[in-house]
Parts: sequence; structure tokens; C-alpha cells
Amino acid sequence: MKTAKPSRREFLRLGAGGAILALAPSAAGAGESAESGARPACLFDATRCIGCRKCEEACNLRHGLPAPSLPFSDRSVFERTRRPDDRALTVVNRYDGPPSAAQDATRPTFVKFQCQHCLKPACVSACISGALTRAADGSVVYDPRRCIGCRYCMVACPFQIPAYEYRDPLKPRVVKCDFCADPARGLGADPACAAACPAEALVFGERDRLLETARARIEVRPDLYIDHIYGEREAGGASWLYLAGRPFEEIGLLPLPDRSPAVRTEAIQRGVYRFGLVPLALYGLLGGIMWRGRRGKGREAPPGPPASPGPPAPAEPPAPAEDGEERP
Amino acid sequence: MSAPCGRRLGQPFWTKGTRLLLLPLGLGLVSAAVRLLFGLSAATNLSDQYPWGIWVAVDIAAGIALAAGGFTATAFIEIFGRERFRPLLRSALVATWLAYLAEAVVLVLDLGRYWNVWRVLTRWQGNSVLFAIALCVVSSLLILTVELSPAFADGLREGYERKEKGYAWLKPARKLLAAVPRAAAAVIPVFLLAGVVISLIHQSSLGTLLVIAPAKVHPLWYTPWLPALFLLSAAMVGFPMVIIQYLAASRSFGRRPDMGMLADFAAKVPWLIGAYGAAKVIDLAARFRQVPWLQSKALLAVWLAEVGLGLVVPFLMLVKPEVRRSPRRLFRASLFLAGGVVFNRLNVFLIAYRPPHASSPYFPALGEIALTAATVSAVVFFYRLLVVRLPILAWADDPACPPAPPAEALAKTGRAWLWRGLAVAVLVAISAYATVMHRRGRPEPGPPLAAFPRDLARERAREAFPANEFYPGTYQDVYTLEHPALNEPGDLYGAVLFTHRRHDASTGGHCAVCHHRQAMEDGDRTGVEFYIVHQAMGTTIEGSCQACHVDLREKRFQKCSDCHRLADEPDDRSRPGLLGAFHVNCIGCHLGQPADKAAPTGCDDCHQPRK
Repeated sequence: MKTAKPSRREFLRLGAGGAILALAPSAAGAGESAESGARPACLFDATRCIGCRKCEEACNLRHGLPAPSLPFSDRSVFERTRRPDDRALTVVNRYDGPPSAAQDATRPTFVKFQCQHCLKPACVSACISGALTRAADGSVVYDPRRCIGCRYCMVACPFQIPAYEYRDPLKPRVVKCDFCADPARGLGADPACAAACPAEALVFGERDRLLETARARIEVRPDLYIDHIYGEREAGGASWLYLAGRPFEEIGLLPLPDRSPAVRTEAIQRGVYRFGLVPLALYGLLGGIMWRGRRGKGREAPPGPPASPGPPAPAEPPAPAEDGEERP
Repeated sequence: MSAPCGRRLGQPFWTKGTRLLLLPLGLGLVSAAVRLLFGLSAATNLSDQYPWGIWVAVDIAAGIALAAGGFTATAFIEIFGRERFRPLLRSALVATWLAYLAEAVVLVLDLGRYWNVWRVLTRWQGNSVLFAIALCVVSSLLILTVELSPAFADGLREGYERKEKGYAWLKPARKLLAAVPRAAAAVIPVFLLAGVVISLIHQSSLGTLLVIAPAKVHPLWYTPWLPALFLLSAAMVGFPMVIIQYLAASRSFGRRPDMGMLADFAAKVPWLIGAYGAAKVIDLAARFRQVPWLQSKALLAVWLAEVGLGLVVPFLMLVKPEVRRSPRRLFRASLFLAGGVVFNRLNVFLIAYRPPHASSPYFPALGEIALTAATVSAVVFFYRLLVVRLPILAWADDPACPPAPPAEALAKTGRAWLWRGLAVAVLVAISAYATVMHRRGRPEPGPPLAAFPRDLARERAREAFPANEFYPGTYQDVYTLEHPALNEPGDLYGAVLFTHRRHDASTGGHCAVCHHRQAMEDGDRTGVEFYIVHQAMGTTIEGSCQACHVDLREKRFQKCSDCHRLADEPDDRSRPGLLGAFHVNCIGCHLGQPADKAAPTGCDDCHQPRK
């Protein structure tokens, strides 16, 4: 009996609104770090995806992106492997062969790509002007007003996700999935893609719970899945998790080390330059050398060539001198 | 003996060569205009996979390495007191200053939102390597300007005093011009030290830039020690760049180069090549097993070419004293070294940069090549302009400089201390600002999300749909798939009429194709595959289930909705909800059917359009 009762999505909206109203003051006061509390995440199951591209369509509608040249129902787009670009924040690609050996051999595999919303995002670490930030809910969001357009985020992203509006001469933006986290569109509710997925290949939830879910799926159907949750640890962990029944590198999900690539550069940037200690020490050292040299000798140059290191002693004997090379 | 003093050469600026440079400069301007008016896509071949092209790899990365002459010469002459080589210093500083200016221009053109670039200084991102580089470019330019201010002031003043054409406007500034060299003499030691330190940071940071992309740069080049390698190679190429400038200027202005001095200067270079080469070899040896040496033969050849032509050949040339004393051969060896460093930067930033998912390799567009050529031309063009008009260059037969006042004498004048104090105050203020911003500048989290709304939503949803009374427990020919979990008001698609009997035939009566799992006890929410149940009973599931399960009303099949209910049920998400189960089961099977069976996969194929 659904006449009197609100729909499922209205519940979500009510829930979201209520929760925000209820908890906003405490959160604002606490100034909590990005790690505290529930972390929204999505789980994509390649064995379930049917390639309907409803997620792409929902994303396109919610973000008001330009309509694609081919309608979303046109399956000929699968003939080439696509990447998210400045006109599509997410794309679904088709790969030959079934998602799992336990499925029909003639069935193809579909995989959805978008920003992974890393837990330790390299793009945020690389951003020169703070245009990319990791919000408290874990979504990695972009503020074009702060961006200078250096595109270092695109170099840094291990998943090669951010796209750029190269055609815009004056105000190009970095374009990538924002996890539908824009306050204007309603915080924390399902991302448009996850809400639209008819096959539940894509589900939205709390990251820890989704990890449990994914492990349970693997446990129940060990024949169907590879025992690995892609995104659990890759590049320091991501908010988007993937399950599949075939090697992930075959379906466009690159093998990546567990550590975020930002860890190394931040160790250099925050370590070597901490309080400017190393530069200051260098400054003092060089200043000392210069001061001593000038005090000792005044400004007078030492006669003759400097005594310090001569040419290294090479193994081969010096070649015979050639004359006549000098220019007039 | 005092070194010869830089002097205004007074030779004509316009020659056939400088006029020829106007061609690449003009083409570069066209390219810049196209980029500004029509966007980066019009002037470049940049893509989402290759966000940086030769403007970054050559103009900025290689350009700054080649601009290392300024800091190596400063360190060698000013700090380590090798006064004999002072005639080379100003030339090195001018070239570095021009290179930095050119790079700043290219950088602005390369930035998508160049008008926003000031935000770098207010939004202090200490984590960002590029941020460190931006600070270095800005402060290096300022410091070089201070270091060169006496040359500018003296050159302009001399032009004014000799009443040369085009200098009359300097009349109101002539006192200032006279004061600048004195003030600069007091503060330059403070600034030149900062300049050297900043250059060390700058050169190494350019290497750190790609440390964040370990998966993209080929392991022949990628190492966490890239900053050290970049620093060492920049230090190595500094002297050769100074030599190239000096020899080129000698030839261009018809002066006899002081080869005795240059040969001694060049004698340091093999040591520096050795240091860089040793670091490169040690790094590769330590990573020997991780490097896929033969994965790409082309890249291995490129690497060998870089090391062979850019390091080994110039090393073998420069260890020979007669090479160092021959202008032509020294020039050639220096060019090999400089070319090797440019090649190295090009390799790290582009040739060995192999981004995943790249649909096509990057090759620079004409607009990119034009601007890069214009950058090089601009540096040469303005270098000539400056050395003709300002006291920059000196040769051995030029008159010696008047001996500079010894450090003690200068130090005692009150005004010198005032200037020096000001310089220190500026540095301290910059450092203080940097420290404050650095501590504050951690990435700000965006608007906080208070709670995860889903739990609340789940509770309410469970209240809404408590029971699963959906199927009559019979076996019908056709079912209308209607369930609160399947359909919502406002859905684009209506209910599906499911032709059960027809599917029964097409599966050959193998019910378990769809009815795939059996709950083993009450509350079992995942169940067991049917074939496993039947294996235990010693029966195989051949033919219709009805053969055994006679009374379907009594011993009915499980309903789909017994197990699959609302999506995102909290208790166990290892199983899709009803909506997901149908789509996965139906379309998943249909996708696997041969084309002649025409199993539908489109939305409208199954769903009746909703009125």
C-alpha cells in the first residue's frame, strides 16, 4: 500500500534533511576532521552491471551537462573505450568476456568509471591554490573560483580522472565527479548515479558497511568474485569500491600500490621545509663561507688559477693536443 | 689583479641575426594570441591524459635547469670567492633573469585561469610542490632584479650622461640611478645568499613535481630521488651554460675569449658530471630489479641516448685540457651537456610520461612549438639588447674594475647598515609570512556533512514495507511484476509483464537458472545454490522441477521477494534487492544470449511505457 506513504526517495530526502538539521550545530561546533563519522561510499559490482547507462544519464541530468551526441540508449558507444571527460563525469565501458567465469561466457562486462574520491587524494595534495578539497563527507570537490588552471591535479591523479575544458579561453574548469555533494543539490543523499542504478550494481552507503557487504558477497559466492575489493586500499583507499569476477586490470582498473602517491611528496614538502629549517641552515652555512672568505682575503682575488679540485684523473691517456682549432 | 669590469659594449643592437629572431618572436606572439582568444585547445595538443606539454617540459622544466648558470656562478664567485671568474657573473645573472621572465610569461599562458594566479599567495598550499616552485620563481625574479640593479642603474646613467638618444627621459631619476648601486652593494650579499638557497629549492622541487606520479613516469626515470637528480644536473649544467653565453657573445661581438680563465672554469665541470652520473647510476643500481629494462626498447634507447650523448660524450671531451682550451670544442662539449639536460627534462615530463588510458600519444602542436621557439629567441634577443646597453660583459683586454671597497670599510658606514637592515627585515618578513601561512595553509575541509542519512531512511523504509505479500504462490503463465521495491510513482517505466511459461521453455525447464538459491532454514537470507541442495540428495536437476515438486501450492517455490526485498537492506547486502535482482537476473541472462534469440536488453523492450 503505497498510496498514503511517501516513496522511498522522499524518505531519503526527509532523512537527509532531518539528519542535517539535527546534527548541523554539533558538527559546526566540533570542527571535526574529515575522518570522523560515517564516510559515504559507493560499491560497484561488475558482475551485476547490465550496461544500461542509467547512471550516466542521471549524472548528466543532475549536473546539467550538455546532451551527448548519441542518446543514452544507443549502445554503439560501447564500441570504443571511453573516459570521463569535460562533458561526462562518469562513463560505462564494455569489455569482452563475462564479468566472472561463473557467468555466461557470451555476456560482456560493464564497468563504470568516475572520480574515486580517494581518502588521501593526490589531486588535493597537488593543488596549488586550494581549489580541490576533500570535504568532511569524504567527497573530493572542486571550487573553480580558487583554481588557477595549472592542471597539476591531472598529473597527480593516479586514476587519471580529472578532465579539463581546454576549449574555454578564459574560464576553463577542471571537470570531475563531485559525488553529488554540492550543498545546492542536497548533501549526503545518494549520488544521482547510485540512485538510478536499476540493477543495484551500484549501491551507496557507509564505507565500512559497504566493505562488509562486499566481503559478504565474496564469501557467499567465492566462485563469482575475485577475492579483492578494488579501492579498499588502492592509492591509500578510495570512496568508490569495486567488485569483479575477473582481474581488475583487464577491465580498466589499474593495479596501484596501497600508498597514496601524495604521501611521498608531502613527506618532502612538509619534512624538508619544516619551519624553513633546511633552507635557513643552508643560508647560514653559505653565509658563513662567504663571510670568512671576504674577511680573510678582502676583495682581492687570489693570483693564478684556483687551487681547488683540478680535473679528475681519467683512465685514458690524454689525447694528443690538436692545434689550429682556436678561432681567430 | 682585479678582474676586468663589465662595460656597455656600444655595438649596434640590430644585426642580421637579431632581425632574423623577429620571425620566431612574431610567430610566438601569434600563438599566444590564439591561445588567449580561443583557448588552450586551439594552440596546443594538450589532452586530459597529457595536461602538460612542451610549454611545461621544455620552457619551464628545461628552461629553469638551463637558467642554473646564475646560481652556480653566484655560488662559485661570490660565496666561494673565485674572484677571477667575476667577468662571467653578470652575464650569467642576466641570462638567468631573462630565462625566468620568459618562463613566467609562458607559465601564465599555460595556466587556464591565469587571471586567478594571485590566489596562490593567499591560499598557501604547503603540500603542493608546484606551490613551492611558484614561490621560487617569484622570489628568484625579485632577487635577480636586485642583483642586477647596479648594472641597470649604471647602464642607464651612463646613457643619460653621454646624452645618448632615448635616455633623456631619465633626467628626474638621475639621482636615484646614482644611489641604486651604492644601496645595492650593501644589500646584495644578503640577497644573493637567499638567491642561491632558493635556486637549490627551485631546481630540486622541479624534480619533486613528478614524484607524485609514480605510476605514470617510466621507472628508467622515475625515482623518489628525482629532486636530488634534478638538483645535481642543474648544478652540472650551470657552468656550461655560462660558457656557452660567453663564447657566443665573444664570437658575436668579435672579441677574443679569455680561454685561460674559461678552461679553468670548465675544469670543474667533469667533477659535476661525475657527481650527477654517479647519483644516477647508484639510484638505478638500487632499483635494478624493479626497473623493467626491456619493457620498452624505444625508451631504453632514449635513455641510452640521453646518458651517452648528454653525459658520457661531454665528460670524455671535457676531461681533456686541450678541449677546454679550444673555444670551438669547449662550446661543442657544453652544448652536448645542455642538450642532455634538456633531453632529460623532456624525457621525464613527456617522453617517459606514460599516462594510463591515453588514447593517443602527445605530440606538440605548431602553436606550442612556435611559442617555445619564441621563448628561446626572446632570451637571445633581449640578452643582446641588455649586454649592448648595460655594463654586463667584460673580456680580458677590457680595463680593470676599480678595486671594490673592502668589506670592512663598507660595513662601517651607517647607511650601509641601514640598507642591510632593511634587506634582512624584508627577508624576515617574508619568512614570517611564509611560516604563518604554512601553518594555516592545510587544505580546508568543505562544508561538513553532519550524519549519514541512510540509517534513518532505512528505518523508515522498513516501516513502510513490512510484508512481502506479492506473488500468489502459484505458477502462472504471465506475471505482472509489481512490488513497492520495484516501482515508485514518478518512475519513467511501468511494470513488466513476465512470460514465465515461455521462459520455462527457453531454459529447458531448468528452474534453477532463475530460481537459483534455496533458503535452508527460517531466517536464512543467502541460501544455497539449488544444485548443491540436490547434489546432497543424490538427484540432478534435469527437467522441470514440477516432476518432483508436484504440489506447488503446498511446497511452493520461494518467491523472489522472500529473499530479495528493498534495495539496500541493512541486514545483508550480499544479495541485491528485488529491483536489482530482476534487472541483473533478466538482463544479465539476456546479454549472454545469442543474437538470433533476440533476448531484449533495452528498457522499453520489457517495460510498458508509463502513461
